[in-house]
Amino acid sequence: MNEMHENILNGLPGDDEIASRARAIFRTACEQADSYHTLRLGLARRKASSARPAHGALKVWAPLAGAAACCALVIGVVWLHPANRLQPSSPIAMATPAVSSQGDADEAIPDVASNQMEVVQDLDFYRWLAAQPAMASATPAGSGR
Amino acid sequence: MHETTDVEPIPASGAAMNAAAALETASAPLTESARPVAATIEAFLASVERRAWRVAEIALHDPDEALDAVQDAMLRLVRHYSAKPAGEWPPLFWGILRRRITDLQRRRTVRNRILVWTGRATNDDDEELPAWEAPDLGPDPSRALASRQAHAAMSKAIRALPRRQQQAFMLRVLEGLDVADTAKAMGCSAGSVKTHLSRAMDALRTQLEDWR
Repeated sequence: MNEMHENILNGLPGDDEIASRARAIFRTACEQADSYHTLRLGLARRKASSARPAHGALKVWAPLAGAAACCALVIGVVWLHPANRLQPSSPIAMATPAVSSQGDADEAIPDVASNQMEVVQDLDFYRWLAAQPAMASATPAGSGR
Repeated sequence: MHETTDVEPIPASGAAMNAAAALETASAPLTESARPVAATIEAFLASVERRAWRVAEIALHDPDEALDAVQDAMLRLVRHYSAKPAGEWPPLFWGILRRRITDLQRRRTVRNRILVWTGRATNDDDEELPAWEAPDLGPDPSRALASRQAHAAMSKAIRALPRRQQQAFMLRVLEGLDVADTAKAMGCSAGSVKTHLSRAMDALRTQLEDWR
């Protein structure tokens, strides 16, 4: 404050006078801006106002994209895991004989599919057919009479 | 260009500290009455665009480069800070513009050094480039001319200041930000703002006659 008084006594302007004078010049200069630069300023403002916030979309989509990527990763790991390749319900696994927990091979019951049941029935038929020649050979002797 | 540390307060002489304290106690007359807070970001940009351009023009001494700096500051404000409360826009905007101006000044310094090395340098401070002036249709051309001359003299005096003093003077006095917002925009403490402003006032005091 003493320095300000000294400036006034020395005839030098005080801070308030400098500030008010500078503001007046600056305000006049702003009002007298030429039309070319005023127009370009307006265009720049409109361009800036129409710009979209950079992080707005990212804030919404980043968690969703991250969650989707995690789900895809988990599904991929579960799907491609070697332990899950041989499911009990798969045809290959059904064709293999299931062994009991005691490891008794004699008591193992073959687990067959329905189409393999037909093969077993066919075996019965062929066994019956094999027994037919004896009966067939006896029939012509009787008919020759 | 003289550049001081951004965060730590600069060491000040006793006279500068006394003047800073005087500025602190008599800070109200330095700033204009508080401007109303704009409701939308477009209204804020519309209210500040001319002043921002003039400030950039004073610092860069090139109206087109100043316009590019203002446009870049507007875009950055909208893209990164439009969700902030409206009261925070002024220090954010002026901080962005200040950094952009500093970048352009440094780039110009490097370019001039390269041109000096290649022997094609020009001194921007001494050479007034021919500029297109719009026809003056105002009622008093002599008064408008006097205003332009006063503005040119003031701009030259401000450009002669060290960079941080320039920034403190333009933000605090010309734009009318308070000490806290000026400190935010300049990225330094309130004490540094007061010291820079006091030194700027001391440097400009003797040149006020040229502005009349």
